[in-house]
Amino acid sequence: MSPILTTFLFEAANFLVLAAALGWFFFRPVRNAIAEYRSKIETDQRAAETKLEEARKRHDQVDQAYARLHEDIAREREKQLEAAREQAGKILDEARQVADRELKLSHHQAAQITNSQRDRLAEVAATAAAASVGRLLEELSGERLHDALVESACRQLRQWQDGLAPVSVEHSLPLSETQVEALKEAAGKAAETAEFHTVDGLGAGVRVLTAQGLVDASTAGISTFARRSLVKEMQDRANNPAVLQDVSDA
Amino acid sequence: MNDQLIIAVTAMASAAVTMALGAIGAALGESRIGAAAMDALARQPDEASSITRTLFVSLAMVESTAIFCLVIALILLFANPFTATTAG
Amino acid sequence: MELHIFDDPVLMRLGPVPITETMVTSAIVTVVLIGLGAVMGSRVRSGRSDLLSTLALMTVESFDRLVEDIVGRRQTVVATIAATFFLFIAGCNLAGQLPGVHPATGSLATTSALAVLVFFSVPIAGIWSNGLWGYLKHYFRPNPLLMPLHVISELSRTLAMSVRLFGNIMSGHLVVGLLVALAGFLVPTPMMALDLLIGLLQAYIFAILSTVYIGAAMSVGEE
Repeated sequence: MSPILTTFLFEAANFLVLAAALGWFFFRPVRNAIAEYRSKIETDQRAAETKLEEARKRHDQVDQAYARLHEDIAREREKQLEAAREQAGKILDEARQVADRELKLSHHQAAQITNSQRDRLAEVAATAAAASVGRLLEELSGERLHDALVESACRQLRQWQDGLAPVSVEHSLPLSETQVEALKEAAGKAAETAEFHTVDGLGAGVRVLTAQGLVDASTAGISTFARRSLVKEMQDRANNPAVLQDVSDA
Repeated sequence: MNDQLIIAVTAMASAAVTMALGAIGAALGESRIGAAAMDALARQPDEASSITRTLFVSLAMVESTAIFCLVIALILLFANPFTATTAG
Repeated sequence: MELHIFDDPVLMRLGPVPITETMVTSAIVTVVLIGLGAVMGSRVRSGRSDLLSTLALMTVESFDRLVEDIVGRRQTVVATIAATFFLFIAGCNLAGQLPGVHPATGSLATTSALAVLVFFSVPIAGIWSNGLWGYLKHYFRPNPLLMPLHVISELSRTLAMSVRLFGNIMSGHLVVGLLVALAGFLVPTPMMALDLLIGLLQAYIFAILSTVYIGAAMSVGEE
């Protein structure tokens, strides 16, 4: 056989043997290993995907819970806000009521203060009025006023008649004989007990103290009386707003 | 002997011409293949593996003509059936 | 200096069968490859992840993917054949760089044997994939008149494959030998480096071409 043909046949057979041997000893186990790796990787990947899905689901759950929590918080805040607003309104109302009460009270106090001031004012006005009345009377004065006042005291004494003793007559201006007589005559039985005193500050007229009462027929007494009646009138008006109203309207 | 000399001289000359022309053709072809492959690689770098494989196969195909020429030249020189003694 | 370009030196004879240097070289390469493959396979099977098993996984996976890219689907048998072509040719080419070793692929007989194996693998794969009639139909596909061209194409590409591999490796080896003889020691080192590249490249090209031819035969029915 020629060497070339032998070599040719040998090489062909050699290659087939090599291919078979490598396929059996080399490629088959390596391919199996690769397939195993691949299947393992696929399994792992599937497991990883499952886990990823699960994680995504949990993430969604957490998100939902978070959103719910947010809603709850918002609702709660709204509620608290509402309650706080209500409370604030209540407190405000109370405060307003208290303030109203305080206002009324202070109005009242102011009114009282005004009343007392008015009273004092009335007192002062009345005193002034009385003083001016007394001064007027004294200006008017003269013998005729003195006579008229004594006459008036006599008239009063005559009305009482009995039980006058002891009688004390006080006067500032000197009494004439006629006037003393008239007074004694008016006193009737008690004339013996009559004492005559001269005091200051009575002005014209006399003041007679009897057991039955006081006859004050002097300019001081008249002015005092005028002051009292004026004060009384003003206090009556203050305590009766209707009257006051009428007055202010008028 | 005279015939043998003529045959030998002719064989050497034709081997040289064969080698030269074959090399020229293969060189031109391979240069064009290389240029085209560069162009394709520049246009599509993602297809680099496919282009490279095709490039090598094409180069081998074209170069095989030069190799054929070389084999023919060698045959003319060393295994010429018309010379009295073959080499080897 | 005796040049062995187109024939193989006979080392000895076992009876009528001559044992050539190429046969010995390729046998050694085959044994080494089988041993390495067996070691890698067992390493991978044992689940260890060291350099060898990772290399094995990378090799197999890359060839599977290459075949998948070319054929269009995963074909373990085709990938095995293509990878074996690559490993055997690359092993022979690299072994040829060892001093005193004549590369097995530098012999026309070896490359012819490989090319003829591809030539026969093509119809086998086509019939296996498409059925006998399905495969034979494609010879008459565009026009029955083109049938001789199909046949010539298959024959010529087989010749081209064998001569391409042989020419590349043999010329590289021849240039290195001439340089050693003319210039001396260490001068042809750049050429040897180029031969390393060319050897791996030719192995790759042979594997790719065989895959392309087989894949084309397998997918003739899909045109």
